[in-house]
Amino acid sequence: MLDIRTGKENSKLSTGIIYASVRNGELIVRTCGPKSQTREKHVIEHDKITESLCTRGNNQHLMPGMSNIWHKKGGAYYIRPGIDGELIVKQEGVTTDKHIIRNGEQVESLRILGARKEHWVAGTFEKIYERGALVYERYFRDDWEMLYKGKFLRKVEKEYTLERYSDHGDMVREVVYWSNGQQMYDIHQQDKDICVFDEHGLPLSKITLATGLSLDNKLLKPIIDLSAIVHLTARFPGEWYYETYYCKSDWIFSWMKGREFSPEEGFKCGEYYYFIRGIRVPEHIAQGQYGAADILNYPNETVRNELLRRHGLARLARELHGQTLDKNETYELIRFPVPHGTVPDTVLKVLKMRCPSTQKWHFLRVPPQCNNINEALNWTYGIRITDTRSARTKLEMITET
Amino acid sequence: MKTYRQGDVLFIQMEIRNIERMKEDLSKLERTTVVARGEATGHTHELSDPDSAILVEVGGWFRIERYDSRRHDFRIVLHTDTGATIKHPEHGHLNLPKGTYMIRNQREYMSYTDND
Repeated sequence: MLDIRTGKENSKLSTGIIYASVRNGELIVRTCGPKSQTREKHVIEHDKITESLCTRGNNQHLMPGMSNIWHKKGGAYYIRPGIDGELIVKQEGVTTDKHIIRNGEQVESLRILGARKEHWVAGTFEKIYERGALVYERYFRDDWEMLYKGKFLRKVEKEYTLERYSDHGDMVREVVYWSNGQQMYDIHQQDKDICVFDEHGLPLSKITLATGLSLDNKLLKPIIDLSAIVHLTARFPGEWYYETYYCKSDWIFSWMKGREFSPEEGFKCGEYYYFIRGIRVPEHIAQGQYGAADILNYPNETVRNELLRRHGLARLARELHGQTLDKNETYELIRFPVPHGTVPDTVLKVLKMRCPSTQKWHFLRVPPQCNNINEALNWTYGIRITDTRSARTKLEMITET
Repeated sequence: MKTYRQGDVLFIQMEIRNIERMKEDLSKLERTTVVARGEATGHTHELSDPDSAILVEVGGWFRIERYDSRRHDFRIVLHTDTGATIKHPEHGHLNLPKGTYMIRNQREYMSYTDND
């Protein structure tokens, strides 16, 4: 609901003057003071008041100015603080808002937008009706804080109805029903085993989590994404596993396991699914049946980098004959083409270096912008290539051990 | 700039304008003798003689451009008035002449998102 003082949706109420924004329409203010009642009506066209009428008792007169409202730039109208009464805002052909004001505070609001009605009572509830049916209800305590205990949210969608419950000010339970009233699931905070049922009450899926589920009330959609479960794309924190069943049987139709929001292995319709860093890969890749050429030819960069890490640059340099760009007794800069790489990573550059003390060779990947040993070596120590090329910051290696 | 390397650790010699002021600032920080610890073996690069140099890990507030106009990001500073030796089980001893050094560890490129 619109907070008429700040003009923001669902904002935390603050004390101060009341605000309304009207481009074309009417502003009506009804005040009820201890001695008299007044009614002001202002007609607004293109952000300007074109007509004002004030009724006080039986007297009615055109107003030279506004008594309870004053106009500010940008189509905003401010209501005099401290009044009791009603503010009615009619946006021509769009909405009608009615705000109840007590001592200058917005305490209740009603908005009508075609067949939609929104009702809000400060510190109590917010409800939305569509064609007379209650489709959304949310209960509060102070301002917009979640209800301390009990059902604080009910939301009706075409396919489901979502209900949420709180305890000690935290969300502790979520229940989702199919549109025919059958329960889809009922989960509590830190649940590790979750059963999902279909519209006929038969088991549809079972989810097993190593770490308890954390309920979050910020997203206004079900925490368990059934579509993702069915399509084997659901992900959870910690270690997780879920399976889905054939209709009217307990045969497993598909399953997926993974950890930390990343799938590792799955099965669906007689086919196994394999993943590397959450990206689906062919079976032979997942089982390590690849060579250095396969790695550099792999189309996905994330998978390619992961395979490089697993394979090792030393092994890659042994298996492939790269182009030597620069070489001395201790170092060699080698270039390998990456056919599917994105610019600038269309080449892989490796600095081969021998430890002066142990005489062992080490391999480090360096940026493709490095053109010689000096640039590559300096980059590995955190020195920008531009600094290496600059005479002012040129580095000179005195001793290596 | 003169550099000295021991395995995967690089020492870059800095030209400090106001050494006394820098030493005073370094003295406010906790001293250590370990330059770096190897990720695979756990072996350390460390000072042979703890009294031969001031070796400190510096926080974000310590800015080398106060003392040297060339700005660099780094984590450890070593200052020695007499010269210092760095030892490591797998590498030969590294002898550093007197001076101030910033210390860098080796890094590896991953992809264009890891550019400099």
